[in-house]
Amino acid sequence: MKRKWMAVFLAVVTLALGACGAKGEPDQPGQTGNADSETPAPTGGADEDEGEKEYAEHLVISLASVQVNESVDYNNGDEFTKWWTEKYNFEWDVIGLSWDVWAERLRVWINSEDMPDVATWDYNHGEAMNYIEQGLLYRLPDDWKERWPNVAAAYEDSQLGPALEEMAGGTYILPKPIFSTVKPTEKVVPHVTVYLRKDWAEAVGFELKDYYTVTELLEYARLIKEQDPGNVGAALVPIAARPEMALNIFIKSNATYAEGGFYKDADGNYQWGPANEDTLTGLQLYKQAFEEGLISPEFYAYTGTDDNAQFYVTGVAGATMMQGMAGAMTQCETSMRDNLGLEYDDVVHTCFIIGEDGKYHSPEQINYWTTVIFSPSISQEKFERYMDMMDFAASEENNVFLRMGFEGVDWEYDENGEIVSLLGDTVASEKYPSVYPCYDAMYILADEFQLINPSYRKEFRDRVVKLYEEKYALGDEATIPSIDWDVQLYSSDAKNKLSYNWINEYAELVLEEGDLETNWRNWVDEQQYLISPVIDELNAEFGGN
Amino acid sequence: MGKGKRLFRRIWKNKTIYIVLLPALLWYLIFVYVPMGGLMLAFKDYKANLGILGSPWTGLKHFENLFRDMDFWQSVGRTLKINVIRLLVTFPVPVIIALLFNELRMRKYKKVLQTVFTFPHFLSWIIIASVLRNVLAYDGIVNSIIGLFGGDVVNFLGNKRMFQPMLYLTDIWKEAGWGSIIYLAAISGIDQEQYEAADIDGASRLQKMLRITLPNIMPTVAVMFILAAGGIMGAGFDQIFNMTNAAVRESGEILDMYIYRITFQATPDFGFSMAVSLFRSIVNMVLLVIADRGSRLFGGNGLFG
Repeated sequence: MKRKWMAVFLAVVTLALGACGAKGEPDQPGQTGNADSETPAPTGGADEDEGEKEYAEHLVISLASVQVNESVDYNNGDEFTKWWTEKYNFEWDVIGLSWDVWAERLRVWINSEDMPDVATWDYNHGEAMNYIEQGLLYRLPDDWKERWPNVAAAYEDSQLGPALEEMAGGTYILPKPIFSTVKPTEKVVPHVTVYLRKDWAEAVGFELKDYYTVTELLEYARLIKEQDPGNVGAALVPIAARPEMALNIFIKSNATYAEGGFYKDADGNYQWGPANEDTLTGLQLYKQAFEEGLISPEFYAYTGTDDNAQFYVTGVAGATMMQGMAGAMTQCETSMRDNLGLEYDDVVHTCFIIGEDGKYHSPEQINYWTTVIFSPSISQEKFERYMDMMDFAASEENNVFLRMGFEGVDWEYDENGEIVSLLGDTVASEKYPSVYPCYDAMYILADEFQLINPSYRKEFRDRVVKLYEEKYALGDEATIPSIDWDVQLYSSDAKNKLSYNWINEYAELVLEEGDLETNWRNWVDEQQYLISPVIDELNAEFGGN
Repeated sequence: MGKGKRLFRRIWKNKTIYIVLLPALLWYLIFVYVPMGGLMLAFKDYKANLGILGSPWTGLKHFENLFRDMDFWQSVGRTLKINVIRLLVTFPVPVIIALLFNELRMRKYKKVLQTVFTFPHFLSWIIIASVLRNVLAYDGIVNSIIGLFGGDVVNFLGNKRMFQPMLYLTDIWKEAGWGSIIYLAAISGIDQEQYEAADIDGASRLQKMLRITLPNIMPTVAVMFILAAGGIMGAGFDQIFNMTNAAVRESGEILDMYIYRITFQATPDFGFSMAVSLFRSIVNMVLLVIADRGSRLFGGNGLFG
């Protein structure tokens, strides 16, 4: 009997030890590497300069991010990822996060001091200060900028990084810059763009321009609805817009601070954007579009990018709003050709929306999207290895390698020094699934390279730049206000408590029965018990009086 | 012999039963009672680096903030409204289904029906919500059928007045069959002699159902009702979270949605979130005791006999 119990006990102990060991690093360096694989030679540039650096110790680096695809094998998959894992002698332990759980998972991991080695974090200032104060984020060594100069240079471009560093007295967060060497405008503005059916607009006699007011866009939608130039019938949606995009089209185009922004008025006192009359203007246009049936009667029930699909997959929409970079245009072109048999150039016109005052409205965007954070318990070796990789990725000369693959295999320079893709109809991210978004967004985001990436049509790239420039030209300091770092980096209990979902808040107001203006005023009044304390604090701290 | 010694001897005598019970006791201890220590967070300013025990005490600060929050009171009111109605509307359905199943004489047909009724329980709310979105959309099958008969399109998904009834209907569809299993088990334990005696007395099937079956399962019904009443403040998160949209969000922001929002969609304040959870648990406890006492008052069984 005793022997039986001993056997059970030993079995349990063995299983437990096995489970503990499963997540650890391999016993032998290079255990999972693929020594037999023939990886193409890397591109030139920083790689050659770093040639002397060798990584003897094999590491396992855990990464939690929305910018990875869990179906991709990042260790033994394509040649691109093999090149990285062999060069830096490591293997990934990738934890793919979906968008809906991204923030909460990381929040739980960070607070329970159980975060992976590296994570992509959607920065929140209140939380950041909290984490820094508690030592829940790794503090980069003071000399990191000298050791990893490419990361340091891009970090300066992120605007947020240096500002936060000054406040926190050290570097804890590396914001990923959207633009670094190539910047389309002095201040960064959003790139979301309206895609119109050019052929339908021409059929109903609607003038094609680079920008429209909401009133003009609604006029287009009315014409489409009345005349149905595409013979779509009952399924026709003049403007396909999920609540997020409806907020962009109708409200943010008119109200600069609609998304809860606090700003200084002419007297130097802080005000709250959603309580402004221009927010009401946007809401009224939104409601008008809904009541006239110019947006889907069930726009609130769209999931994912259903609205965009109505434009480029089912072809029932007269207009939609989506990303305005060359990649999105390419995706739209491909989808329309595959699904509808239509040529993009014949049927699509891109434009943006301005306010009823003729100005482009948007606060200056801080030049970053998401941040890199490290576990406070990350080993020095892993941290340095990851920083080496980021530094390689952030160098100007490796930009092309990162997004287009191997020189001589996937691309080459022509006699004029221009980059020419050798991939024909495909792109590097299709040939090497690991490229996008894992390596591609390792530090500097791909937006910048999309402006010069020859994989995308020149017409698209030029169009993106043109729209950026026009937006910027149509704004001024009042409608494209500079970042107010006082507000941005202010943290207090009252401010941290604000948790509005603007997409839903405005959609609810539009859908609410009764008079919109009365409902909006009541809603603004109801929020005052949360908002007034923040305004009082900001005025006391930074206000004019 | 001392009391303790007697107890020990009794336990030793029935050691096999206690060994079988041990895993469940350990599970309860580890996963239910030990985490209760975390409740102290409701009175602390939680700092992860200091841990639960090391974080500084804040007294009733979180409760003061909580009771000042209008969103909190609205969500409490909504939770009570939705779940009290849910209890009244959905609770009798499994009982009725069990009574009807019991009357079926064709065993094969009964089994098929039971499977059909039980199956939805195994679907997650996210699946049900997406099916509903497709079925009830403007261009969904239901509106198409209405259209075929010349009716106007009905806005099912964005109608606030329809949202709560839809919660109850989908809840019944998903859970009633599963819920009936426990009553069927209770029915199977009824002494058959009672039915035989009723047959001799010439009782109809309806009379047997109402005078024999129903009274016999009433103790089970009472216990299930008390347990359901004790969960009123915490019911329905998965369902509402998946079925809600911007048009009906206000109708569905129950207390658990509020907790989710303040914990996971805002700068987290775990002490504050714990204060809300503690409040919710206390209300649930009060409701449980009220239901228990109410059941005894009306001559029924309480939770503890």
